[in-house]
Amino acid sequence: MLFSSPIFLFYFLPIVIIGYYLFRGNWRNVFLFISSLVFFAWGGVSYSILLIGSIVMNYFMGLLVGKNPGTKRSKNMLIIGVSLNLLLLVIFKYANFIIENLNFWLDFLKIPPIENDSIILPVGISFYTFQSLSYLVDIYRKETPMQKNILRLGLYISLFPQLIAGPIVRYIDIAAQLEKREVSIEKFSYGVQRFITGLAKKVLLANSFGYVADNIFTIIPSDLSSMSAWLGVIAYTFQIYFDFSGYSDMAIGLGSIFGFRILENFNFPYISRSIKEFWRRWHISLSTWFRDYLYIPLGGNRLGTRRTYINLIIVFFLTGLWHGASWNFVAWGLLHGFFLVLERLGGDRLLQKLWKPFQHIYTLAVVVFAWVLFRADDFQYAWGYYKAMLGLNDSHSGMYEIAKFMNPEFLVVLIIGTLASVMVFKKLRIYIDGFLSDQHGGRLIAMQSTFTILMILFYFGLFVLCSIYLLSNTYNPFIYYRF
Amino acid sequence: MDSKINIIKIRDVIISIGFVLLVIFPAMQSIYPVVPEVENTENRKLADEPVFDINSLDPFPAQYEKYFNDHFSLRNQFIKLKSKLIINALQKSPMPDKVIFGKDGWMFLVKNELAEYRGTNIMKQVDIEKVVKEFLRREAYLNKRNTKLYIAIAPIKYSIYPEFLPSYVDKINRKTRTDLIVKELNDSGLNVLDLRPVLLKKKKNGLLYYKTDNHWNSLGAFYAYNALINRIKLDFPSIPVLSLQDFNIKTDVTNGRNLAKMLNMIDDFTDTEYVFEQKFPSKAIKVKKVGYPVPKSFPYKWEFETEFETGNDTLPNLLFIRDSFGKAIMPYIDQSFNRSVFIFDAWKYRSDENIVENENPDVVVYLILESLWGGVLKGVDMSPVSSFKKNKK
Repeated sequence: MLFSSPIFLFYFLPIVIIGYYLFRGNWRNVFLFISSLVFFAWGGVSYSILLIGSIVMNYFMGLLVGKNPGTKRSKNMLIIGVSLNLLLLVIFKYANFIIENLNFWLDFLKIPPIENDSIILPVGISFYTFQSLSYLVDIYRKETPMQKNILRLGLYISLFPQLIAGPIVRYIDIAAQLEKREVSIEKFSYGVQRFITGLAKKVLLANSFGYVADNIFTIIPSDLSSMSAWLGVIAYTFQIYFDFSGYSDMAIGLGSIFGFRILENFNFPYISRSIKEFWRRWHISLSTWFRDYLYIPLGGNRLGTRRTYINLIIVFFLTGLWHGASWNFVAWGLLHGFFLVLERLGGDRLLQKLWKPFQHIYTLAVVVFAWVLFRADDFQYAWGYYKAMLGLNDSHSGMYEIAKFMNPEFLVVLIIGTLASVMVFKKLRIYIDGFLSDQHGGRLIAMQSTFTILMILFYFGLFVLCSIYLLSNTYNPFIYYRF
Repeated sequence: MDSKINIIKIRDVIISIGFVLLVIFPAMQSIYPVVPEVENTENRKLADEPVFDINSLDPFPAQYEKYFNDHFSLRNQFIKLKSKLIINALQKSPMPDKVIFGKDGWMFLVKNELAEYRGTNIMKQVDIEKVVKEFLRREAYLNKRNTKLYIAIAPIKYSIYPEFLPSYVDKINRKTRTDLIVKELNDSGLNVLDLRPVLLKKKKNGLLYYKTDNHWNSLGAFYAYNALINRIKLDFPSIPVLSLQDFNIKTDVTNGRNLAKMLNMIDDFTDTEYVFEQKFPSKAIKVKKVGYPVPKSFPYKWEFETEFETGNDTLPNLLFIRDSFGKAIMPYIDQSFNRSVFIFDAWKYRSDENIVENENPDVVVYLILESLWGGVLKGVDMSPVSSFKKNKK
């Protein structure tokens, strides 16, 4: 089930909210767990068996690892648990990719290829597997005790707000909340505001950018004019940010409605002045996961400079692969890794001497060029697309392609998207709050009330607008010939 | 400071309760309708409620969601609201993939027609040759039966009124697919009537297309008829021909037409209609259908065949293969023939030789909209067709 679907918003969500607040105590966890399973089953009933299997397996592995954490036996159990989780991930996410690559070499060696019955990728498997891994490792590291209640562990792994697109919640960050958490009107209201913000990012911004990006990324590169190519990749740059951070906002907001506190996942990545900074602001829960569970165990930067670079390359190779089973994603990860190593090699000192706008341009250029690899279907397409961006092909696409997209609606979205990406709205909010707190007496009340009314209207208006857009997307008229 | 805390508290309560009310509102609406219902104008069948089958669970959610979305209680109202919002706030088409807004309130259909006008849908040379070869085969077959073949090309609105297109709709290729195909058809000696120059010449006499519809209006259709019947008259000098003087023409204002309907907004636009009243009654009378087999997936099955007879057997018989543009020609052209059979075969323009042999027409006309060569090509691959059993009239 998608958050941005009528069935979630107007069917599932009201039932879950009302049900949740009707129950008391431990029943809330039970209800939320069942709701999460229904939510997940909606995306593929048979794959929920996989999810339940993963919960049961991790529950027992957790008990085994946590019996005497830190010992050799515990370590062996950890190795088994991690391997089992990775095995699931490899089978369901990477089997097709591995077989395809093997077949390429088998064909080269004139050996008949391996039969490949395409496995459909189960929703959210990359996210919940990574959560399970963090659980087992944290127990082994004695950072947290094992969870003896399978319901609580199940809820941790399957909690529907973050189940299918993150953030990747570390067990340690949420363990206490699984046992006891407070709901309050402040948290509920904050959750509603975050949720509506995320929904608007997804429905009004990301979908509008996506419409342009999707249309341009289906054009054969040789037909693509340089301007269209840039428009396409810029639209995609905005789309992926608003889509993904919007989803995280919705997850954090929903969590808050149910009394959870889920950590932030994005922090205005496009204002970064280096790739290093970008990765501190982009998909934070994934980069910290890789830092804590891969980079540091590999030795981090403690084993000399050469090893540090190798570690970074390994991390970014896998970061790329995590996003999808294709060499495109690997190349995207490695491109980021390459620039990160370059910055470590002294590039950052050079960068800091530059005028600040140049630091932004450098970072955005790397990020935007890398997104082409992320979006393109294969290397050939990406290569053609780069050529189009650099004006190296003579395209025949005309004014229509640009003008079709560069309409007032898109320009409005582009301006709002740009302002939102560079923190303008957040700073405005901080400024208003500061301004209000400087006021006193009757003036304060008047201003406070006005602002509050505007704010309520803004959020509800935004929600209604999102609903209108969502419903309209299901409108699919056939050409009506008059008879 | 106290008031500040209170205001924030009140705000949080309003936001929380308000949100819950907003998400349960559609469910309430479906039980106790508060917002008045609006008609659905999608012209398609809405999804049925799927049957829950425990043995086949995987497809159920997707089917149910389709059903849920199609039958969502506020759906039609919301769609209409969005269209209004975009048209009024942004002055653009709310569905630019389906309908383009041009100048002075003119609307243009995107499907097939935009690409035809811009020249981005060029047909492969082998396919053009295939089409020409098939029409030559059809002509030879008909000539053997003493039947004359005419191919008329109906222009899209873009070709006749490009001045009303938004300025960003540019031509990629100067020669369109129709230009290339018509040239090849002409070169092969087929009887082709390109109506584009005809209507371009006549457009100074009045509006020939609707503003909110992709079709020609009754005046445009009349000029097309006139050019076509005069061409046929060269081979059949005895047939009567109508002229504009045979009609009283009145102007009427109507609701928005098919393109406005696609946007769910017929009430928000108006259009001009010429009403043709013939000064003397037409002798052509609609007669019973023969019952030729209708293509399975054709959505307008009742339109597949239409027959008229004038009861004057000194006149020739007509078989007219058409698309929706042929409809407005029927009330004029049927008066020139003894029996007229109009076939709308799902935009395939096939050569159904069973119909030909059953009807024994003297004249066969293909009226093809210039954006629908893709359908012609499909029809070529399917010809000759039909398992219709000959039944003696």
